[in-house]
Amino acid sequence: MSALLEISGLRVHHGDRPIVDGVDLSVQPGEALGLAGESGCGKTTTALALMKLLPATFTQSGTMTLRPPNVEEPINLERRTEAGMQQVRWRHVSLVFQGAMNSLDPVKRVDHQIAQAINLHERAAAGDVRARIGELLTTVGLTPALGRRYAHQLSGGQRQRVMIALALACRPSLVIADEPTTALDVVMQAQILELLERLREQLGLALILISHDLGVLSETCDRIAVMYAGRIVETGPVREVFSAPQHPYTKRLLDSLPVIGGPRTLAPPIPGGPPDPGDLPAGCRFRPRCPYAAEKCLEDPALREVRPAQAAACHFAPWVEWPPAQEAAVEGAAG
Amino acid sequence: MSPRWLAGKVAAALLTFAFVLVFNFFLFRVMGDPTTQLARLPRATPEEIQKLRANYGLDKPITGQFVDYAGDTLRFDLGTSQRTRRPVWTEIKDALPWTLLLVGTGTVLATFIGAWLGVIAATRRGKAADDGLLGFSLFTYAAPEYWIGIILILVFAVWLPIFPAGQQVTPGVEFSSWLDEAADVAEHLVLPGIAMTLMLLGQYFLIMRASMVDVLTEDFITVKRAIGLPWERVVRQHAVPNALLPLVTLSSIYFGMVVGGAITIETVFSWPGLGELSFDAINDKDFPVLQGTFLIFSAGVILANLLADCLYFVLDPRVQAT
Amino acid sequence: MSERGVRQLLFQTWRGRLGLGVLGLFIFLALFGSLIAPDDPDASSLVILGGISADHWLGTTEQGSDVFSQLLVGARVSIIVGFAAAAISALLGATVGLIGGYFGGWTDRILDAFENWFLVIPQIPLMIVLARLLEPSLGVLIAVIGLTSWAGTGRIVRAQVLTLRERAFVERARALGARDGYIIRTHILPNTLPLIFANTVLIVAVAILAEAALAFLGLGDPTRISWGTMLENAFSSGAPSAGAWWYVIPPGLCITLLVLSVSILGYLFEEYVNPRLREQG
Repeated sequence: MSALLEISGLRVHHGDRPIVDGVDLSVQPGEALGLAGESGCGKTTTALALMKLLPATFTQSGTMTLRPPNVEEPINLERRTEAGMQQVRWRHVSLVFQGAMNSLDPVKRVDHQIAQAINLHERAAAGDVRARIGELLTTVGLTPALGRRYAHQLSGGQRQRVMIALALACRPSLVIADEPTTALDVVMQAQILELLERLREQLGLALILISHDLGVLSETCDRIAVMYAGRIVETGPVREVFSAPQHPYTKRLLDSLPVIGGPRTLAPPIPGGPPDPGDLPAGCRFRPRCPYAAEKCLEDPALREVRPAQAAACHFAPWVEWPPAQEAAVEGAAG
Repeated sequence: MSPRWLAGKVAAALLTFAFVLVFNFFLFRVMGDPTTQLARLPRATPEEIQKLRANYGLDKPITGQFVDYAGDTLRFDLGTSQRTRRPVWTEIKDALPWTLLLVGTGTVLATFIGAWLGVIAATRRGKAADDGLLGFSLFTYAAPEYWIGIILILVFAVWLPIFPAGQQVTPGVEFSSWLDEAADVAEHLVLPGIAMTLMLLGQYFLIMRASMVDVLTEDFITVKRAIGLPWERVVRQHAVPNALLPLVTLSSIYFGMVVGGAITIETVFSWPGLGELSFDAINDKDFPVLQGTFLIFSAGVILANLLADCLYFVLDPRVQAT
Repeated sequence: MSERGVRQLLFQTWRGRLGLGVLGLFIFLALFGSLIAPDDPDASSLVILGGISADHWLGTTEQGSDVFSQLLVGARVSIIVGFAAAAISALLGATVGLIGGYFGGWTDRILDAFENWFLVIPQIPLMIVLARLLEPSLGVLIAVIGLTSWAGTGRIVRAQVLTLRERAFVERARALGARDGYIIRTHILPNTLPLIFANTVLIVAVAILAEAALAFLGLGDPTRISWGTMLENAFSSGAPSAGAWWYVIPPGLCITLLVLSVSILGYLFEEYVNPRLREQG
């Protein structure tokens, strides 16, 4: 089965600073891929680059190929002009933006804005459009009457649901959800995740779920890709990556997740912070913060398959078990 | 429209006007004791002055005088012009429509052109067009509007006699229809109208530009691009409507400027409005007229602010929730 | 606002250099204009509204005076009135804003209402009324302009003081028993002065335009020549109809250039003091 989406060698620069530096990703039809990583690692930039929505101060390169069902020719996004992208956007791939507080035009009604998206990509009778909007709102758990309201008349959770309904309006085969639960309380979080899961099953959607919260990703995703400093450092099926991580960064991320019934201690935070794109370390980008760093890490590790269906960018993968961390080595290993 | 909100705004406006009345009264009493002006009358004997004082009610206590003044004002009795001997209110009534015509034309043109230029500058931020427009708006702010008016006369009425140099109609001409007369007025309106528009243009441009720049950073603009809307339509259908809202309220700061410009421009073009009335009153030290025009100008600005508030209320669905 | 930062701003940006240069030229004229003027600006002659000639580089006025000399001398009034009136306005506005913003309560409400009133009242008619009642002179002009322009500064200062008042270091000082005067002097004032300064520079531009407008309307100091009175004389003597462009254009141009230079500097300082403006360009 050929991939629905295939990103190869994606690079995004802001001036001369690399924000995304050689990312390969693929998504199968109907699959949910989680994109994990700290803030600033390039996740959102990757999503915006995919839809070519980055401002003019950014340059991007690499190939991005979309193969939606019922479309003859594969769509090479990197070659599309702005006019060409306008046809692809929302019709084949849509995006639920981070933070729905201000994602709707404040002076226009909600239903008009959903109708706008539909009418941009299809010729449909007004009555059909109205019906579809009602359906969409119901699907995301809202009453259709809410469509007549303005954005400021909706709560945060309702706005988030409206954005999801909007994202589904043109029946795309791929939806990207960027931190869909971050601004919400825990109860709302669970509801939204459950909604996304249900929609995936009902509509056969493929989903790219971006989040810094591994817990959120573990529930909804089939596969997960971990990003660090503009690069993918590990990919694999969610179960495998969680039970047997193959990259020290993934391991530390997982360690920081509290386990119910487990020891009542906070996991030690990963010392230091992600590197500044203008000042990247030589070799493996995680080296300055990695408890297992060694000489070899001055060489750039490639993302390679280290276990069945699981790839990691670490010289010492596959890891069968994790030796005790040498914290002291971190300081010396820097530079 | 929430009646409570509206009532609050109207009450505030009335209160402000009341303060203008008090201020106006005490200013002219305190600083220009009418007795000294009465003494301008040739050879007035003390008895005659005393009689005149009684006539004008100047022998009453000051609060009594104020009540008289307030009562008179609200009945549109603003005194008599010392120059023409006609009631001040009549002078004002005759002049007001001309000022409204000039100011209205200038404001409308300045708003539309300024807003249009503001959108252009905001969507080309940092480029030559933006810098050029910013420079132009700074120049129109710094250049005195009456100087611009004089230059317009010089170029378009003296060197190239295309437009009339002043007044509102060609003197001594009989018009066969009101359409012809209107056309004549329109011809006379061109140069002062341009001066008025140029004076206000810069301010409205700057407000709209800043407003657009703000709106273009909002999330929903990116969302509109994401759904596949072409950029030109994103700007026109979503950025501009949201940017116009602050324009309505922010431009109300400049209503006072409009009045000031009206005075000087009308003077330059001998335009028979409140501005020229004020100018004549300045030269003749015609205090009743000055007092009356100051009152009308203040009332006009207060009213304009109130209308701007109402307009904003109608346009912004978020405010209607209050 | 550091001294080095200000110097950098003034001398190392092209806007700073341009503004400073032009302003400096006019200040020089204000000081020495009467010394370098070729003719006595008040001296009349028989050459009425004469054009450009070797004797009169910018022609003559309706009284036969030398336009160029008048132009040089006229800088003085604009500079003096502009800066003096702005200083008064700044003092008034800052005081009202500080007191109202810091002490709050009824004081603030009354001062705020007072301030809003001044903001609504149209400035030029108010100045006209005051100037006419008091009989025009340089001092009257300075007072009248200063007393009517303070409200804008007042509002800005009040907003700033309100935010500063709630900040931690002020609460700490109060908890340590510091008196109001001390807090205002050591904590509030230093953080507000840059704002006041930047705003006042822009008020100088407003004051210069106000003086010129009042002079044009006949309310200028009759004993002094200013660019505004030059325009008034030119206009009332029919210079435009006579095509005497050399009389009509230069005074207005000088006003424009002076106001431009002050405004450029004012916006420069305003951007520096308010970093948010810098980002939004």
